[in-house]
Amino acid sequence: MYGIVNKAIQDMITSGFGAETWDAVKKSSGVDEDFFISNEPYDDVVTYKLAGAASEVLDMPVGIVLNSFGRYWIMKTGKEKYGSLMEAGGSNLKEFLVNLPSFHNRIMLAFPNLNPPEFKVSEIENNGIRVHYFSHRNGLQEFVKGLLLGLGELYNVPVEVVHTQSKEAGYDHDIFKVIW
Amino acid sequence: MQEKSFSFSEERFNRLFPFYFLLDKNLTVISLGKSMSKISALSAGDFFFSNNYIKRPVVDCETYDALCALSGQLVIIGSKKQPNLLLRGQLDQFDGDCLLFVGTPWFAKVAQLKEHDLTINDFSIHDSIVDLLNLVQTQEITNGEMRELIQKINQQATKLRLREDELQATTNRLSLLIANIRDPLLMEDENQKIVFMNDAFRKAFGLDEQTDKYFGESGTEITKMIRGAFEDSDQYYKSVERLTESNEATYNEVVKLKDGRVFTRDFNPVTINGKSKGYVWKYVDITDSKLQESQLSAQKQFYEQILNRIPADIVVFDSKHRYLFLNPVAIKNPELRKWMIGKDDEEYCRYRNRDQSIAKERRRIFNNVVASKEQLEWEEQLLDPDGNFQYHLRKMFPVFDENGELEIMIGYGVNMTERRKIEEQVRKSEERYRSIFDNSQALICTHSLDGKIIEVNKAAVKTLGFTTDELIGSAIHSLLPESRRAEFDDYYLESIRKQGKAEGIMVAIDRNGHDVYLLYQNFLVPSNSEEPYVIGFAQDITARINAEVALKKSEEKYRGIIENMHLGMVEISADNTVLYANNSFIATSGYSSDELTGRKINELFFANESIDVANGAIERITKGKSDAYEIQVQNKQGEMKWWLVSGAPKMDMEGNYMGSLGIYLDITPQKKMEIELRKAKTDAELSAYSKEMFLANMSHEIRTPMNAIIGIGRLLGKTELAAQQKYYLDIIENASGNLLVIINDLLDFSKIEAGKVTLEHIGFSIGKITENVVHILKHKCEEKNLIIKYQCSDEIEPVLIGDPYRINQILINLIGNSIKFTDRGEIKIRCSVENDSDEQQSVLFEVEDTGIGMSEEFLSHIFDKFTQEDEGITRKFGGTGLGMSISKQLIELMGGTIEIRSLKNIGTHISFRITFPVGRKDDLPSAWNQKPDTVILHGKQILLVEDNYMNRVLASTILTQYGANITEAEDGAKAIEKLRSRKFDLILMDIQMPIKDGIEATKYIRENLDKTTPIIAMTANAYKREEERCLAIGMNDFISKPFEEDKFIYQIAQWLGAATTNTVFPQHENEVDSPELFDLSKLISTSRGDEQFITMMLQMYVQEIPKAVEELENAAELKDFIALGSIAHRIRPSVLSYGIITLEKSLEKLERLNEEFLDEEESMEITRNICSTLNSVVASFRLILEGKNLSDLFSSVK
Ligand code: HEM
Repeated sequence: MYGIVNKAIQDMITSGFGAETWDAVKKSSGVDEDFFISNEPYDDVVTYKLAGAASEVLDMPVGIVLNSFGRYWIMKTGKEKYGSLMEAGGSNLKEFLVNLPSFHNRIMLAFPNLNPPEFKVSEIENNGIRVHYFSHRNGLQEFVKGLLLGLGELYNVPVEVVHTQSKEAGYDHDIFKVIW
Repeated sequence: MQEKSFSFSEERFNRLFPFYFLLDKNLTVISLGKSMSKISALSAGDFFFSNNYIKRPVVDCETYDALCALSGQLVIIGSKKQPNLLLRGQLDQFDGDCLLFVGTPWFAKVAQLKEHDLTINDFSIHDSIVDLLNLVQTQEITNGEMRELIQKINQQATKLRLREDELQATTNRLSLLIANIRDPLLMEDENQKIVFMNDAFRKAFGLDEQTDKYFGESGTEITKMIRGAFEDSDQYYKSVERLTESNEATYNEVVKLKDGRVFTRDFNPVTINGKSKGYVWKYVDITDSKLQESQLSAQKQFYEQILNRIPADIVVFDSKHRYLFLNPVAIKNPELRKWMIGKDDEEYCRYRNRDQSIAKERRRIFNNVVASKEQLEWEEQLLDPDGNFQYHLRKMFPVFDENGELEIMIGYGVNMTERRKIEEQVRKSEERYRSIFDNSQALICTHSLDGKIIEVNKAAVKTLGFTTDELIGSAIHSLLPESRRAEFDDYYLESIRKQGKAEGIMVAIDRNGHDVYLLYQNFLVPSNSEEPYVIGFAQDITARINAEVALKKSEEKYRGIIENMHLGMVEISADNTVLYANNSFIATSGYSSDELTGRKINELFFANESIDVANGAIERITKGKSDAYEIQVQNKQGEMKWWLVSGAPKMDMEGNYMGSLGIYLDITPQKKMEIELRKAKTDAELSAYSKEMFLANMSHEIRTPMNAIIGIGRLLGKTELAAQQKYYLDIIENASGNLLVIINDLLDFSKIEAGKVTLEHIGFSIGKITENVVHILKHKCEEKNLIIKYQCSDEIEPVLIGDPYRINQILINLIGNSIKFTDRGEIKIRCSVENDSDEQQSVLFEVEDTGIGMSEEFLSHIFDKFTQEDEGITRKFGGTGLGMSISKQLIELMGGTIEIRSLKNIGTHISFRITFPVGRKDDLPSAWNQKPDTVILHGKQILLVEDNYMNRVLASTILTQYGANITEAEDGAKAIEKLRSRKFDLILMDIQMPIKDGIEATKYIRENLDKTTPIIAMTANAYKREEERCLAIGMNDFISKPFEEDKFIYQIAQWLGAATTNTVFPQHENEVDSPELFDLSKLISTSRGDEQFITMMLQMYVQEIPKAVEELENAAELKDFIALGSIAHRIRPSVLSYGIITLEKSLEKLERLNEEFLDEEESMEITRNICSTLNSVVASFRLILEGKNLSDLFSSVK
């Protein structure tokens, strides 16, 4: 994944728990990089190792780390670094989610080696939508949940995210029902 | 290739090019794109240049032609009113008279989208401007990161440089320092190359060159060069090798040089981050100090050894009372000893956690000694570390210098603890002996060999009555009666002298002149130091001697009393032979003494059950137990007597039974009275029983209206209600529901108490029951959001024999409770097999919840009647608190056990286990295996009370076939009429009837006409409750309609008093699953081949049923659900007699309409179904009747 992801993890941990904790996480992960460059692709393993180490050092389940990371990603990385991009994605939550399927495809211009997940939406209703999440990566469901919650926060609408279908149960993709 | 011409609708055009302008020849805006109109200040009809200008390329004039000339170039259009809005695109002439601009805003930052209120949806999808902006954004982010990175690297580089400078400076400083150290120093790197050698080293070991000449040289070489200087060159060389190899720091090794100099050597391996980085060798010249030291230490050692070996504490203080020396006796621990030097007692006490008072006292003594200039001695008591006292005798001795100043203070002392201990022991043991001597119950005295008393103890003084002083010194001789004195001298003193001891009984005279008998044992105590003396121990046995005399005297007297006392007394031998009987016994027995003695007592008096009682008692007595019992006997005159016998065994010394002594009290009059009392008690109990019956009856009385209240409440609930009304209705429903539960509980309870519960023994399936219970209670769980789970082990046999209704009741109660007391979580039900054999299975039922649980205190009372944890619970959850008690009693009636574990606020786990015999398929209720002896029905008078004509015909036909005489009555009132004029052998009573129903009629009959004739209820209500109700009001049994002929007859025969014969009844195989519309096999088997009967039955159906159908249809039209229910109730039995089983379920549903609510749609649907099925059957029956092809019917069944 691009360095921006790892960088965001670093930022999240540093801002939340201090530089020493980040050092501890990095040490425990065995990742050697001192500095992540946003538009430089890194092996996925780096990201997984960081998340795992964070869970260990902070003594939290990895699901919670990923979930928080999802929200952090939206509220910090998304809003602060790509605020306008996020805003341009839609003028309200529903519109944003409807546009979500082409979101990463557009980003591909900036990140040519992007290997992004694919989103589809269905059952678009006035106060809910089904987000289908396809990815060749595994274990990031909690991250997605966090992202969707973060989007709610971004648009200032309380949302509920229900994981209604799981890849772990043998389906080819995950489905999240987002209700606001 | 065919050319494709494009034509775009405006909508599509908008989709592809949302930012466009279409201008006419006058450069007026004809139309603009949907996104363009969002950002542009222009609208259709405006002049293009009123707001816009061409930024690039530069045009001289703003004309149509000038703009046309720009086609084929990148055009950038500016906006006059919005200086930062640029459009980037191209112009194209269109149809010769229009000009089209398509493009997209030229933003430098994504943020500008927001400024213009644009989102991604405002751009055509192929337009990559936004994505490019994002790229720029990303680039910017990365640039930022790069800047940050470079900054970081710069910072680090600066830091690094600074560090390097620092390092250099430190290195220089250190080198200088080391170079100037006076002690020889050598440093090697990890490869043992010399990195540093100071001048001192070079000089000390005679190296000639400048030190830096040796840098880089191998360490081994250097060692070789200098080893010649050492006393033992080889050993030196080896020691260097050894140390480098071991790589372990070693200090203060002494090395001697040939010229007499002595050095100590420190070897220090250097490791940095766990890696070896070299070695440092440091030498110190100790030649001078070594010499002095060795002389001094020899002296010191000598004195110290002396002091250390003196077996006394020796310490030396300086003038300030600080320790200069302590020997090992004073302080054993060498470390502590070392530590103490220079410390005073205050510090010592603090360190050892001792009381400061010791230090204070010592300092006081110290000061006294200094002041008085004289030695002082004192005793000290200390606690040692084990908590034992240590006693010391201490002395302080001052030593003054020539000026008279205190130089040192010598303290010495010895530990006296051991000595003290021995002294103490001696004292204690003396005390002990003294106390034994004084307090002994035995008389103790010592006397000289010529018989003079030396000492006496208190007991002796007390027994003899003289004072100690009077006794001491007096001759024993003088205390004896005259007659015994010679014996004392001759026998006693002689024996002491010769054998060293004497024993026997001595008679002394006490102060009052009475004889005192003393059992004594006296010994000679030899002694080397003093005169030998005698010590004597004696016991006062005067009382015993006197008692023996008295006993002898009284024996005579008692014999007389026993002879004449009112209690009978008999002494018998081990084989029950009478040895002795007193006068009273002789009187009540009627036998003479001669007739009794020598005879066996059990043969004389005991007959029938008395023999068992007596033998039991005798058996107990032979085992050595005293016993008392009542027994009825017959005396010689044949009078029946009640005796209260109290027997006591006689045992010999070895514990063998030798016979017994019995005391007999004639209690015949008391017994009579007791029997009367007991009868009175039974009467009282009977009245309590009838109270219970009353309670049961009352419960029924209340339940009937309750049912109505609940039913109507439900009906009301289905109508439109105001909130307040709904609220009231809820209260009514709740209250009545609770009341009903209470009444049912009470009823059950009183039945159990009255012992009126009979258990079924029929085949049933545990799986079905549990499933059913869970089904019933599921909605309650759903209401409370509880999860209910159940699991039934498949090891459980499909058919077990027992009482399914009671199991059902228990489960409903337990699970119901769990639901009641659980607010969140789940209820788990499990059935499993605990013990399995071919004949029986022990089944474990478990109900587990996550509810409020129970306190331990409460658990201990859970099975008491009327128990609920506190009143609050009763108020909140309702109920009588009888449920658990009922369940427990039912379980125990079934031979099972129940167990509860519960934790407050965690949950409750209830389990019960019951063992059931294993049954077979045909044990399931439909099979009827016993054939009654039906002959008994012959000629019997039976009253059949039934409102339904069809049912009446059916029942009477069956009964007539068995030879009974049937009288029919259409309702309760008519039945009563009939009963007034004549008697019947048995009454069959329908329950639901007009005019007077079965219940009422029975009640009236029981109360006013006939208490004994069996009344059997015929009930279409499948509920057990109804059956109980029938029993409660005095009916004897019930038969559920539709009845099976065999069971029907069997039951009637039973009540008529027939014995049963165990014949296996053949099963109707094809009766089980008939997919047919109807099934006449039952009817046919009932008819016994009587075609006429069948014809009549079919005709009846054809006549009656269409009427019922019409009624049903009317009721349905009027939505009169109550009517639907009662019609269904009325026709169900007969419909089922014709085997129209497809209707069974639907009719039942309709029937329950007044209790359970079906929605309107469903009831209508059911009704329609019933009607059409009934009609089809009518049609079929008509066909059969027309064809009269009945014989086919018969053969089909046979
Ligand atoms: C500022 C906005 C965003 C940017 C710049 C961005 C960028 C990225 C990047 C660089 C990756 C790593 C993939 C790779 O390197 O191959 C990624 C992964 C991911 N993104 Fe985004 N993203 C953004 C917003 C979102 C949003 C709004 C969602 C969805 C709700 C989302 C869902 C994901 C997920 C689930 C992954 C994990 C990869 C996987 O599952 O295969 N992203 N994104």
